Amino acid sequence: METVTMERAFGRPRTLRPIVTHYCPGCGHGIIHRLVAEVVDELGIRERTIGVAPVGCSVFLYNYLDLDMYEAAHGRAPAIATGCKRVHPDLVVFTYQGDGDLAAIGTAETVHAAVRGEKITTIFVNNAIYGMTGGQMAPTTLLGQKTTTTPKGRIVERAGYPIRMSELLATLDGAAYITRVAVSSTKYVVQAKRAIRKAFETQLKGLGFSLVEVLSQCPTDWHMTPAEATKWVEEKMMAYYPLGEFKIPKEGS
Amino acid sequence: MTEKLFMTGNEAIAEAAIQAGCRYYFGYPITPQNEIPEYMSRRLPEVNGTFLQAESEVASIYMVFGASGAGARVMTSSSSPGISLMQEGISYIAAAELPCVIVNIMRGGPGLGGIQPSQSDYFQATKGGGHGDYHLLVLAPSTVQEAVSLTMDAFDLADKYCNPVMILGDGYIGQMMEPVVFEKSSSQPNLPAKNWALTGAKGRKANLIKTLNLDPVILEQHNLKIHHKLQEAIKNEVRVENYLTDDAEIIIAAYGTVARIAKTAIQILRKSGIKAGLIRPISLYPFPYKAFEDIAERVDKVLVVEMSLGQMIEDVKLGVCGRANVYFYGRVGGMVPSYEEIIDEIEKLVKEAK
Amino acid sequence: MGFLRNTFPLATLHHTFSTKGVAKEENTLMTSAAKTETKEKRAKIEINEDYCKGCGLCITACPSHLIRIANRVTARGYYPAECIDPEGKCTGCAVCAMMCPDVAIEVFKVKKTEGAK
Repeated sequence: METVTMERAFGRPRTLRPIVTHYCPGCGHGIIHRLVAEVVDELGIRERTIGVAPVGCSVFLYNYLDLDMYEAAHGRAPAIATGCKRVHPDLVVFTYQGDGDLAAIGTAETVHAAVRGEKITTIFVNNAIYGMTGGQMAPTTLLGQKTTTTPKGRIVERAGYPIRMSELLATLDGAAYITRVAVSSTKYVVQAKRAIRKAFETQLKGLGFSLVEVLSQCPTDWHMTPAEATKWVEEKMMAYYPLGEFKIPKEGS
Repeated sequence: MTEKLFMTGNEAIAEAAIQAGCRYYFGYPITPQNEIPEYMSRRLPEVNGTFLQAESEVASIYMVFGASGAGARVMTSSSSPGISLMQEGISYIAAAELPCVIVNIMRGGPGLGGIQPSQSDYFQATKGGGHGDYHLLVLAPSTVQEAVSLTMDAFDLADKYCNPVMILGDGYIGQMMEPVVFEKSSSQPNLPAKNWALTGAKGRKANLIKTLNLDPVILEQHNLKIHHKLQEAIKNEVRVENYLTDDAEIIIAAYGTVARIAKTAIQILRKSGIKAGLIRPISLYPFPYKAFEDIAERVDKVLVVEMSLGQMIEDVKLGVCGRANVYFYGRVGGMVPSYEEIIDEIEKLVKEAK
Repeated sequence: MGFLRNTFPLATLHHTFSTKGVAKEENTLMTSAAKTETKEKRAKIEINEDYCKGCGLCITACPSHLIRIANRVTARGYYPAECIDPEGKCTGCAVCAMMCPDVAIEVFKVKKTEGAK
């Protein structure tokens, strides 16, 4: 009689707590949280990693990742991370921020952490909208995109152009690794994980500021199904926010 | 360092912080306190500390949040407009129950104001500043030596109460040079270990530093916890100087630089037969209400002198509780009252009574 | 709650609502929680309905089209995904699990066999 044993080949990473998240069905945050947890586990750094949660949909990041964590004020995560990293240079400190947090109220803190080459890692979740507060325009909202504060679509005359944070930060000498990825389909998820791992490795090597911008689907505020939302990321967002590595650590890729 | 040194108030405050074990400073330049970050930038590396000039006061206060949450003794400093920028962060620090020391070297306001001294941030320092129910412990030095001892105490108090503590000075205190001695002293021995700090979850449950509590039941409890902490401080940490109040017939209430000027005025007044005395609050929060409650039994006129349009006077009135008349004399915009002006005011008040 | 049901293929079960999403009555279709393994199965997935929000990203991802939205509601009020794989087509590629934002999917692959055929 043949005995067949099934071994678990894919499951929940240790650092991701077994808690049902409050995120909407299809939201990219869940995928990104898992990737961060997988990378932390694979690098074996859980006990020496400190995360800084933002204000936004992912304010409850600290409920989901089993790490020492701060909850930051809106936009201030890089400053808090700086204070922490300067006290504990041997620990791994990362921030996790949305587009309002990082590219609106927190632009100065983001830019200057990169200017200083602060040895922290930032995971920047770009969903081109303000999710938690119900779908207002973000600095990353695309032209023509309808939001609750651009009901007829974003127009340049009133609201200017969307901001490409990765390209902007890549111009700074203190930025060591800047890349943009997505989690809209499996092949991008695989790339995204690689990028997140590289970003943490950049910090572990002490090379400077690392940032992974992740294009993320927001089905609820885009008023789409999750499948439609992933398509929108690939067809509309990637056209304005190209994927790629904008700054590579000097040690080589 | 028990030798006598001649230092500016700003530098003395910075050195006192280092002697108290502060190894992290995050701040932004603003007149009239730039000597503090400049001194820190020279001294901190000498003691293996970290000095970081942040991109703004907003960033500074959150770096303080981060460093304090990581378990370190940390300080920032600024002046009025910059302290305004820090208010959000101070509310967060108080809510997260993190210890830190914030130095405000007050200048003329509001707005960009001027760079001369003022005491116009009393309300901001003692009544809130940031949103929510919290208080800073506020200490107001009157001499450079006192600035040293209060700064050292501030770190102990911050750790004891897990609350931010403010040193409220003004441009005079910051800029003037006086002889000062650094005698390391701690008024609060046996401080608890910082088990709540974020140091990496090795061998323990993960720690969390947050201020969001969506459940109102829990948020109320959290507020009450902080409130009870502050009630303890009110019981234990009131500091006040009573200067020639025992036989006083008229009282001046003043703090900081103005108190020194008032002392000169009192000495001259006494020579001319007017028995004036001074109540000098040293802790502005907790405020020494009792000193005013007591004095109102014996004296029926209190002249409050401030470099503002009348802020501490409200607390004096609360302390006196209607049992004495409270008068005000103030200068603003960076103007400093002279002892002659104070003498004139007292003489006017004494004449009225006759 | 109409849009997901129109987008993805549904199971045609005789009953629609159950608390834990496991069919109480016997039917011709195997549920994803079925423990019986056939000789041919190289891999399988388990979708935990405590976590599944029925977003359907796994359905789009599966290259063998083995997943669909079930015609029942979980305790949390979602129509969950379920894997229907009577022919043992699942290769354990885990693409579904990689896309799942709720880490609701565990993937199992055959490790070893003992004994002779």
